[in-house]
Amino acid sequence: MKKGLGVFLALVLLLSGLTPLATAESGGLSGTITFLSGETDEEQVLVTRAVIAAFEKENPNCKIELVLAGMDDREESIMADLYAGAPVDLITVDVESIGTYANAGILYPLDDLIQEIGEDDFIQGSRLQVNGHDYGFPYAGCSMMMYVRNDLLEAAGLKVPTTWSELLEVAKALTKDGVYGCCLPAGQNNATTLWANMFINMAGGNVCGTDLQPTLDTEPVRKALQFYKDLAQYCPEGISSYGYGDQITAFCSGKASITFYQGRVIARVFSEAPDLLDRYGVYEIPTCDDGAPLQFSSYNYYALGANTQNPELAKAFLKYLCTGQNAANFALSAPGHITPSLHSVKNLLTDIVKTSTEPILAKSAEKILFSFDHAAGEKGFNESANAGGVTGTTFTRNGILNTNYSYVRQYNILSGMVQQVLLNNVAPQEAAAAAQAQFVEVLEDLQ
Amino acid sequence: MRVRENYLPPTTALGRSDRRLGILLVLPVVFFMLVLVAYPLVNLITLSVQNYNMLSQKSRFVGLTNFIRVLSGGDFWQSLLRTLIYSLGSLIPCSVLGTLFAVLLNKDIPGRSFVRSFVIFPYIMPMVVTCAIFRYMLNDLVGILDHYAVVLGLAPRTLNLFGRYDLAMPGVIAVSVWKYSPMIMIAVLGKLQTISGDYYEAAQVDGANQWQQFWHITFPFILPPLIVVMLMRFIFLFNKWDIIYMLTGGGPLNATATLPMVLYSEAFSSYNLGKAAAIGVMMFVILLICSRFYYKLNEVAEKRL
Amino acid sequence: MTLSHRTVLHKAILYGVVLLLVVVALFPLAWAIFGSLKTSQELYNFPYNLLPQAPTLNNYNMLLSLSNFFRSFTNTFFTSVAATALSLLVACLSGYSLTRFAFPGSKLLKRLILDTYMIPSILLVLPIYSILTKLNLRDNLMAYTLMVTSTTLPFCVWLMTSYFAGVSMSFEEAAMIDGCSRFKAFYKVVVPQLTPAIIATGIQAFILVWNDLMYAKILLSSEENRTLSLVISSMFAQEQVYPWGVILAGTVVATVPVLLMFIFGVDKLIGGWSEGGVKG
Repeated sequence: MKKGLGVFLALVLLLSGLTPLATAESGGLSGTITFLSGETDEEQVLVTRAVIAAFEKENPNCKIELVLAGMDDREESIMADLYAGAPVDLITVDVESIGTYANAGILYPLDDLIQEIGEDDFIQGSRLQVNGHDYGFPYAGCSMMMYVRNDLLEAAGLKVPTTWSELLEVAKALTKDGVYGCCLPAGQNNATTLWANMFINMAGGNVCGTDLQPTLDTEPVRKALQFYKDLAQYCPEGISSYGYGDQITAFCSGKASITFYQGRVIARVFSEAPDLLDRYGVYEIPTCDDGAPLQFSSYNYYALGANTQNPELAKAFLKYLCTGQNAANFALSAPGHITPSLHSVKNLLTDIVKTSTEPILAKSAEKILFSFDHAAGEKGFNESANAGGVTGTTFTRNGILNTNYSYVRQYNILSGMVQQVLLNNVAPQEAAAAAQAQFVEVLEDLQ
Repeated sequence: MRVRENYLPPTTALGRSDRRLGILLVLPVVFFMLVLVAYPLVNLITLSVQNYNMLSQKSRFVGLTNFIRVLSGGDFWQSLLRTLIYSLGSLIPCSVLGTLFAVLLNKDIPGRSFVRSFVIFPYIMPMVVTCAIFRYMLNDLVGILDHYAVVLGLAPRTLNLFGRYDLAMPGVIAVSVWKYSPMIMIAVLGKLQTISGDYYEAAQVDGANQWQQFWHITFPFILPPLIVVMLMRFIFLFNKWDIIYMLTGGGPLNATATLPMVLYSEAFSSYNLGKAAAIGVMMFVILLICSRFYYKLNEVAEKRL
Repeated sequence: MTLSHRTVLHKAILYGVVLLLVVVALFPLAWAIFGSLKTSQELYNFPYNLLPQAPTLNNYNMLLSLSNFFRSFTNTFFTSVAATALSLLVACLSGYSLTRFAFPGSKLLKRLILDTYMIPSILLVLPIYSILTKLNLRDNLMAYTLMVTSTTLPFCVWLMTSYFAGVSMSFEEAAMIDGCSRFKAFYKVVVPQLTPAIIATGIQAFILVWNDLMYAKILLSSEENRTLSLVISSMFAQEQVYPWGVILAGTVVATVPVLLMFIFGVDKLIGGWSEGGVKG
């Protein structure tokens, strides 16, 4: 399967002749920059290397040093460079960190690059501005969707759930014969934090208000915890150590009938569990019965260090990498998981996906296109980066970045709350109140 | 004949030139330690009395505030306890098993050289892969080890080793013991191979059985390097965080959150290098106390010998 | 039970335990070897088949195309050998000095060496990186080798000191009285007794450097300087979603040559590691 995809990509690259939307200025660009990339899957690495090779060919005096690292390693790397006073060039930054980095003044403003590409080309919600400036270039999005085993659903005579209460009923009905109705992460990790944040938002609340102060001792949080608890009954016992990847394992092994995840599952089912190909569907996440009708999409960003030695080269390469055919190829390396952040790229991709005969694209075309639209949709909300955007049954993209989010991760405030409810049988009200107290204390200590 | 282990070298009759030679020989070590460790240590202490933000690189002197904050937070003592449980809980089985395997592999078995090299494998395997594989094998849905645990009757439906509050630490310890027993085994083997066979022959003539031979001949010989390696490994395990982080992330509910992990998250999630340095200094002090304890113990043991 | 029966029983138990030991130590390697030869579809099958039904070298191909694997292999190899050699040399010199001479501060020095081992490596690596950056030596393999030696040194020094102390000085003194120089006495008398110890310490140092991740992550960046552990860990992204095939192939390449080296190479080096020892 992967070999086929590789051949396909090679063909695409060949046919497109690697013409970017706008030619990079080859005259006058020189030097070396490091490119710290977090996209470490084989297919993505191959595409990235191909693009670098082509760029270096067009700009002979330039060298792009590719460094691959997962999120923790990347942070370490950046911190070490800052500490030692070494220049930081192109880096990958997650949505939760970009506000913090920008506020600390370690990023290079990319306003001119954004203007060059055109503000309108950016899909709504992809740009994140700090103090009126763009410090990150959104290069890929992903959106959280619900995966459902249609065959099992039909066999039980049920419809696809669209609300939390419906989901609970469906999950209950599907939990039988060694198969679980649903799968959630509940380990002490970032996945649980993210899922909890999502549910809190959907229930109509926020982790932090517009003043960046915690708002955990509120009704939406209690509702979200209760939902977590109710749904966990229909999940495997092992969820108390589950992280991201375990969701995929559960779904692809056929042991869980429903799961929430980003688009990566589409590619994974194709390569790991092809017998499930025609038996599952991709849908919007069920919304809370009296909460905000939200769906979730977020973007990953490339950023430039403020002390970089060669901003011109970095910006030129960034443009080369993230627009046109190159960006499309990159998105195709993880079909459905990486959604485009530019309208132009999205149109390009839609055409390719619709007309391709490549097996994975042909067979999963509607699911992939669904993920594109889902990510770009009106209901899309950037949960972990936002503060105070949800009120009751509505939400606004208020552009306030939650720079206190890193403490949520470090002190496991949300994941601890969930685990208290699930493992220690603590009542949601108490758990929420305890988490609020913990968060407040952490912030006070920082003064 | 028992070899007397002495760490205090006796003076030789050769005098001053000897002393110079002695100093010359340790110069390389001193160089390394001064340049590569002393400077960072000084740096560390300097950092610990500052409020240093890794991102903005702004710092200001705050005296002992970091230390007070760390010590008064309830987390510190609990994390310390967990760290001790982890390090001692891994060290003791590692040492016992390592010694046992060394003795076993010192005997005449076919393919001994192969076996000796094979059993080093856990130690060689890259940490990230070890943790990934063990997590996968212990997954409650598709894990083969979890499956066997249920078959063997260890748990009704799933062992859920890393997901249960009471089993997470033993689980992490078990993986550490698997990984690090070879370390002890190698060190002990290094000494075992130099024990002359005459002792054992004499003992057998005297009618001693295996256990007596071990206790009266083997054990005293291997005890000195064994104790050294145990001390080293204790320090190593005390500072270890990556294996725990990759297996459980510190959970569930902080069941496996040890001091090094707190340090790490302080540095890289809060970007508060000053506080992390304070934790580092405290860990250093604790280990210093432990090592002084060890020296005392060693002196007592030597007097006995 | 007659004596021969008991011996047979003992042997059986011995072999049984050793076999169990080998299985427990090696089963992940077995999984890695077989898994690296499977297609991605087979890898995620449950219930589980150990052996690949349709073995393929695809994962190894992918591994090669993903990174300059040979280069990182040689990088790691040379770094490990150099660091081990340096550590052993310094450790032996120090071990000899600390046990055979009395000079003021020798005891204190020993304790200081141990103390330096206690500092968590994260907090060591940042200032070291700082120094290297100022010296313009970041991303330099030689500098990295030197720095990583400092992680193995305290351990090696202490261990060698302990082994040295276990060799009675009376042999050397006798040899010196007979007219040997100090070094000749050392060479002829002490080294043979210490060979297994040197090997044992060397193995531990080698593996420590081979698997070093923290220092490599921070001190090295360019592709041509990467080490094996960097390459392998770079395949693990944040999401805990692993490309198992390539990872297992990487594991095989990162561990099997080292094992083979220990089995055959070390034997040849001194002919002592696998022999020696006693029946007992």
